[in-house]
Amino acid sequence: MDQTVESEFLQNVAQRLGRNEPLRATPKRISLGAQGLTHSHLPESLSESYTEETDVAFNAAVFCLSLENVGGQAKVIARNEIPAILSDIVTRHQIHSVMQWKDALLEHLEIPSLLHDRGLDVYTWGEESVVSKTRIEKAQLGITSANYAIAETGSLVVIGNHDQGRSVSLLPSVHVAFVPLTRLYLRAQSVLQELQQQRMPASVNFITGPSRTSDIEMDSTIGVHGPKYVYVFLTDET
Amino acid sequence: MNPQFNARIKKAVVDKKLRRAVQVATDRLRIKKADAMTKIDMEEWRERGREIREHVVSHLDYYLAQLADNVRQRGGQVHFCMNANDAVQAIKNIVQTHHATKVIKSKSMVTEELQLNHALEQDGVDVVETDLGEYIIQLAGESPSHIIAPAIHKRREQIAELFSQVANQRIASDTPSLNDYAHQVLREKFIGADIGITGCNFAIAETGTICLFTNEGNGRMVTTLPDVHIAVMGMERVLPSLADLEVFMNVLPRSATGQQLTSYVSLVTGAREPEELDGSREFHLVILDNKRSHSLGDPDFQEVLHCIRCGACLNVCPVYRQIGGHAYGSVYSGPIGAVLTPLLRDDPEAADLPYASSLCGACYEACPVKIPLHDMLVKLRARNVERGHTAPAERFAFQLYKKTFTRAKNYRVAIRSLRTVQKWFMTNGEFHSSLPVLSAWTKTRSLQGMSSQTFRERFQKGLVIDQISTQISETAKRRGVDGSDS
Repeated sequence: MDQTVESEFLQNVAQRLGRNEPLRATPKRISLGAQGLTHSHLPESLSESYTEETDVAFNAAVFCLSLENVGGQAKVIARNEIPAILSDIVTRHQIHSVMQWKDALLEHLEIPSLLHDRGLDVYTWGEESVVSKTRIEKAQLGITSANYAIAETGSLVVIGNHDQGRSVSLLPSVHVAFVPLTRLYLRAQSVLQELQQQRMPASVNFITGPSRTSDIEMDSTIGVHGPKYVYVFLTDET
Repeated sequence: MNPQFNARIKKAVVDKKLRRAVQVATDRLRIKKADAMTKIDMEEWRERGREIREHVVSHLDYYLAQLADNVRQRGGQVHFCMNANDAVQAIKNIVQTHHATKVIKSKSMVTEELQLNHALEQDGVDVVETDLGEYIIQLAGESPSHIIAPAIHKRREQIAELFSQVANQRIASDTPSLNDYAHQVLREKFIGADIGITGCNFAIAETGTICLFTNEGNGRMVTTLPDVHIAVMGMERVLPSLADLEVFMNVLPRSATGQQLTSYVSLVTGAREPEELDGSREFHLVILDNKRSHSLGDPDFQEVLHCIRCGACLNVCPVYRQIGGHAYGSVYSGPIGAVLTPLLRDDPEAADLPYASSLCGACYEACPVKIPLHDMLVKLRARNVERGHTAPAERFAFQLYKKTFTRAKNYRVAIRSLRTVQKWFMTNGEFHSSLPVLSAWTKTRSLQGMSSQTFRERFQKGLVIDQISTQISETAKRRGVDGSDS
């Protein structure tokens, strides 16, 4: 990049704004982000049945409802339900090829071995040093955890790293995520604050339900490029 | 108004299918938006949105420098471009350096402004739009007719026809078939592409992060699968911090599609980390001025740079709803297009766009960052007058008007003589619809003649208000007012 082009560009901006040279001191803010604003109303039916808004069970109920509203499915599960749940999804969507994160929680929940037991073709992200695009493209089911989840919108927040491939939650037509309740927050605000306190990861994705489009005569349909089906299972396990 | 613009409007207005499609689409977007608005106190969030945008734009030099530093700190390359040519050249250079032949794009209005696809295709590069709507109009060789729903003017049969031609086999016109076909074709393009080009909804100065709000997931594909990612942004698209992003996560999807949040919000900061196994290996950020800076420091128009490209003003605009996006003959249509285009493009055709408005102010009401678009439209019309862009007859008419209305004597003479002359051109108290000079108004609307007495004359005769209103209602009766005359 030509340094002079850049300084001329910024010099022009500064002059137009009535300054002799580009501003170097951090400008003062009147308000920061959404500070002091009232967030969206939560479903009244839920607010009545839970006393504490910070209650984990309340957040979980809000999360499930929000995700269902946008066409996903979510449930709080006990560990012993997992084999039946996985089996059901594999049968329903006729899965034979799976891609998964290399993840401590998934291993703790014994998901890799459950998949192997069913005789599925399993690709674990991070186990091979080079990813072949044609290899990962085969997977019909992607299994991940999530770094955070947001109840208000029913969103998963996934961060890419060596073991957490960005593609796993994107390429397969079915996405299943197991998320510890400890990572569930009520609002996006808390997640953004956590992100601000660390070095920003190269890839952060907020995933809210299935991929969708209304580009053909405003007819809403799911799964044009990303997953058609999103299942989120919230668990006490960590 | 110039003949091309008039011709496009006429063509759009008689195209019943187009009008129907545009109205159905804009209605649906408006209803969904209204529903989403009930869940938050939108006024409060709008005001904060406005505050943040105002702060950024009035300190743009600081935030752009901060953004560029942070992008570079994360290994990204920044290209500041004064005009469209520079930006196209910068992108071409990246493509050539990588000997790239396959480029995939996710939806970006600013690359439409650059006419980037055309420029790359001339170099023999295969450029594919991957947003479903953009893909459709790329196949049709058209431009977007709506900021967020680019193909709303296309009917499913037309889309099936386009797909069938490419596929060399019959593709059914139901949504799932069309969807499945696009999925299949574009998936191959994603896997095989060398370079991914995206727009940028917001760039976070504090972290050097590009934010993309998408629903289809193509934005994620484009930033995940190819080795090189080029993000292109208008220079005003900056936010100070991640905390500010929260406001726009609440405001943008609600205003654009009526969603609480889009399916995906992707935050991309530089290229992949060294240990990562997917994501782009190289990241470029192209920052475009292209006359945006001309509005900076201009008290009348600086606020146009607050725009977050949600399209809400299009959905409520009575003019847009009648003529659709293409009639504007500009990348940006609707009220925002009518304001932005003449500011970015100094030509007579663009100068006409501010007249494509009824000045009803619905655009301002809908705007999530409270841009006074209707005021700007009036100011742009005034600017046309100052610059002498108006027709000689119009200038003459207004000079006459000025002379008449600034002197009481001239005024009285003019009124008296007009009252005498007008009788020859009127029936039932209205001007004939075919009068050459007035026909632009009279052929679709009624134009009443001047009253037989001026207010002063009535006042001198001692007529009181009641008698005057009786007279008025009698005139109305005589004309048979039932609304059918409009």
